[in-house]
Amino acid sequence: MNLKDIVASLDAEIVFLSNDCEIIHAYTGDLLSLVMKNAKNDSIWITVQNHVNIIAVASLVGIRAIILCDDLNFPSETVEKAKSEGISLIKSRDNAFVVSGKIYQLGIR
Amino acid sequence: MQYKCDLHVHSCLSPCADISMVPSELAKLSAEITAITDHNSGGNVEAFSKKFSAERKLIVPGIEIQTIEDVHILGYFPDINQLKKVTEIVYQNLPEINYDPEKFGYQIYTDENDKFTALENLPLGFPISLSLESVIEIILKHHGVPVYAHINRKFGVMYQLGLIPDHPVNIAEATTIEELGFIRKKGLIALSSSDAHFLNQLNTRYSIIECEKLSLNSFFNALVRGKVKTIWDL
Repeated sequence: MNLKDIVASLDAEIVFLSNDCEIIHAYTGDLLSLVMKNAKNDSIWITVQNHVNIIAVASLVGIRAIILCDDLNFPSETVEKAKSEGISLIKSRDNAFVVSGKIYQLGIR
Repeated sequence: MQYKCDLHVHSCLSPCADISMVPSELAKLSAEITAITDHNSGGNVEAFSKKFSAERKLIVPGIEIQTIEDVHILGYFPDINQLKKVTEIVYQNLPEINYDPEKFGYQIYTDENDKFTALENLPLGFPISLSLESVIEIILKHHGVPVYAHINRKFGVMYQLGLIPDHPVNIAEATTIEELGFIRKKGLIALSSSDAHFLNQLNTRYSIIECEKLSLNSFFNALVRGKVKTIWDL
């Protein structure tokens, strides 16, 4: 499913869109070591972790987009890094459980 | 004697620190007592130590370890050889990934004359596979002093875990006056340090320590007794 279509079905705003790529998988979690171990390529990552290091983890794993939950904001440093690495950033007022449920309902696994 | 100390400073070995964080620049600009605390490594400490001694300043051998819970904990060591042993353990527990310095930042070893000697290819900016509890145990076993870094900021213990766990750590780093109050209410010794990654961030926060003389022994004696004032106490 395309990233824009996923975002459209959520109550979410795009902070930075690198490109409207195809998302195959999703992963929810806040521990960088677990994300590095378990998330798959072409994923969307649902998290509350917004430190600049999430971009390094995303580009390492092949995560294409990050959804920051609970109405948290990406620090400018994280946004800058995402732009240089081509990682899309989205923010939602919902919590990670709700966002994950909505994305699961779209058929993303 | 009262000495100005900055106990959280990154060198050019940290992937997120500027390449200008080299021994001669820091020896010129930083506090009389400075702890070099690179991410998951003590590899540059010796070079800084030599340079600082020549300038009659003191380097505290240090490291900032990122645990599996993504908590940043600092370790200060009276003996550089103990820090080297701890660094070895940390290196064995870093994730095995292909490190691309263009993507993640350059990790540069330097000698005391600012000459770059090697690049580190282990991913120092990532969490290791050991828990906070075991990391604290390792620091203590190597005669080090564990300190919670920037407790309420990202990767701080409060930010990550929502509480100060019941571990044998007596010192915590404050980045705001509110954090300072919180740390003292918990009965912990508070420090304020710069966490500098760039030269212009040096001395933005520091502490004043009351110790007999400018030596590691005197420093550690004073530190564990809490003979230290933060920037908000001055």
